[in-house]
Amino acid sequence: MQVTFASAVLAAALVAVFTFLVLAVGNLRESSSKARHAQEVIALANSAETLVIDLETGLRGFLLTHRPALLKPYEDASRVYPDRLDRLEELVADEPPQTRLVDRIRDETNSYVRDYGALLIAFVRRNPQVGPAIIETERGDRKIDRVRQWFDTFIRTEGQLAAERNRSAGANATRATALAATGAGLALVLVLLFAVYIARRIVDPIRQTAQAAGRLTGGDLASRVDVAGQGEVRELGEAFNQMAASLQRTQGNLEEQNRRLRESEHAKTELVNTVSHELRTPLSSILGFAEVLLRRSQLRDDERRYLELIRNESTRLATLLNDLLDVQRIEQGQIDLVLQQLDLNDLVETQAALYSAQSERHSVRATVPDEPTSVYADPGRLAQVIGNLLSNAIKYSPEGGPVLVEVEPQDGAARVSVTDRGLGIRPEHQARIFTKFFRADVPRLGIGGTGLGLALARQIIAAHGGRIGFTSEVGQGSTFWLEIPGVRSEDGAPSATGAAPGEEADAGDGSERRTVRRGATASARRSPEADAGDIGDSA
Amino acid sequence: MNEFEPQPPSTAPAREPSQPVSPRRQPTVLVVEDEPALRELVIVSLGEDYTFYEATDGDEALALLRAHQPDLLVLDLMLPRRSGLDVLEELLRTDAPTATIVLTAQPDYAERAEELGAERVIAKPFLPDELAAVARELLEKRR
Repeated sequence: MQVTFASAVLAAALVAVFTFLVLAVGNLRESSSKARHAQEVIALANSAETLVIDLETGLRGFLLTHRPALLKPYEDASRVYPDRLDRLEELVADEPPQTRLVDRIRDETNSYVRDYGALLIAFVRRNPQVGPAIIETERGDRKIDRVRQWFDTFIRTEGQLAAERNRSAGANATRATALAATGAGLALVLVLLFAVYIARRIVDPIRQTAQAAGRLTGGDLASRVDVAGQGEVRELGEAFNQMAASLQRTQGNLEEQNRRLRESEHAKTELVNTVSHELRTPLSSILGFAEVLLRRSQLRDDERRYLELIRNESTRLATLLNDLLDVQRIEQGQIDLVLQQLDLNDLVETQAALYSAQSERHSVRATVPDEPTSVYADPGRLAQVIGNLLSNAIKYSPEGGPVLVEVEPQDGAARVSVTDRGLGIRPEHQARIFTKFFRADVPRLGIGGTGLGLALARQIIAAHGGRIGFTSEVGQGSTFWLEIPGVRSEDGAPSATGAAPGEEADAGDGSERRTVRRGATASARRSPEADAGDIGDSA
Repeated sequence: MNEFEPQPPSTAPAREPSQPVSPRRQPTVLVVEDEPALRELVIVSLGEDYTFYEATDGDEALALLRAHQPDLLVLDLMLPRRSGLDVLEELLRTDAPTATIVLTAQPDYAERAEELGAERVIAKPFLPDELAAVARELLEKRR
């Protein structure tokens, strides 16, 4: 708004200057034309005076010579002079003193002609013999003299007027030039002032704001602009400062949030560590001393049995604790896998033998190919998963029976399946088999367990880049299967293609550590739904 | 990571009958553990063939190490004042010939403990027979 005002002022000033200029130039022209006019008047006056002189000359000549030819100038002049005087009067119509002079000249000249010249001429014509000396010319002469004086005055006056006007014209010209120069200078100054004004009030604040924005981008969130001036420029400054302040606050909030998140993560880790320590310590005593007592030979049967119960239950508690912490730590992204090429056949047979010893009512049999089955996996964790599947197979066929574990090499991978002829899993429970703590209605049946084994298994297998699933039918039993990639791929994820199961990969290239990240958990979460879709496939 | 799972029924041999006292002195063991019950458990687990020193925190542990230079150190990591890892570090620096078994409830520190010179890391809860067997093994190697 201020800019509009300043622009209006500048425009008005420029208009005024040019108006003055135009007026000055107009003045100049007027003066010039008036000067010319004066010249014209003088010229006309001179010619009118000449006519009067002609009158006198003609008359005098005639009076002297009585010859009519000498009267011609008189006659000519007397015909012409009225118009000429009229014209002269017209020309000086704007100068009353001059018009009055012309009137007097006219009157006197009329009188000369009418009252004097005409009479004399008539007299001479009637009395041709009268000598010239007799005729008295004084009256006529006086008239002419007066008229000539008046002409002098007239012409002198007009001359003065002309000089006056010339001078005035000159002065006007000078003034016009001065005014033009001043006007130009003033216009220049005004434009410069305007430019300075714009620069200071508008360009500078804008540049300041741009620089402040640059600093803001560079990371200085404290960057602000001096707010000055009024109107839109002020608005710009204030808006910028508000924006910067808002950014600063937001960043502060985010940093605060970040800090709190990190603290919270840290706290969780601390908690896990503390729990781990605090629970395991008393458990150590319970389990340890039970074992110590069991070493002694002089124990009664019931004492031995009770001590074994204590030992078994505390072992179970320890297992639960381990599983729980495992699951927690995997979810926190804290478990490392130590991946290497290994022979799945060996691992499966070892686990089968181990679990075979656990139950007399079950027969655990492993079927493996003749050729070694090479997979890329963490041996401890894979053993944990297979062991868990075997343990489940035994637990969930409480009547006993066969447990079959089979290794099938596949293209770029290997498949391990564990089959039992046990209780099976009800359809409405199957979707949740892999979720933490889910144990269906098994507690009712008196079967122990934490409900964590499969959740853990799923996360571990997912971290290997593999898959896990099952098929099951109530009353018929279940088959749990898992697939492990055969080799490591270039980008670190186990690939689906690679060494055929029979190939021995370089064991010497070292193992790969991989941390079980949240991503693994996320992808593992998808697999129950995908795996639930496997129901219906032939086992 | 197999150590951190309770093993299926142990197939380790039963503890050997005590040997007649030999002219050689008994091996010395420093047990560093702030929980009294666990200290007692360790001592009971290892048996009568050793001479035991006990410490309840890291500073005491270092003092006893310096004073007696035991043959075997059984060390818990979570200790008041100075941590078990610090003790290991100090021990490493002095280059003493003490064999070290670390007992810990926190598997996270196992790797670090081994880096600092612990020969074995056993997870809590532990089987007394296992501890005894490992101790015997390490001390045999020393001889």
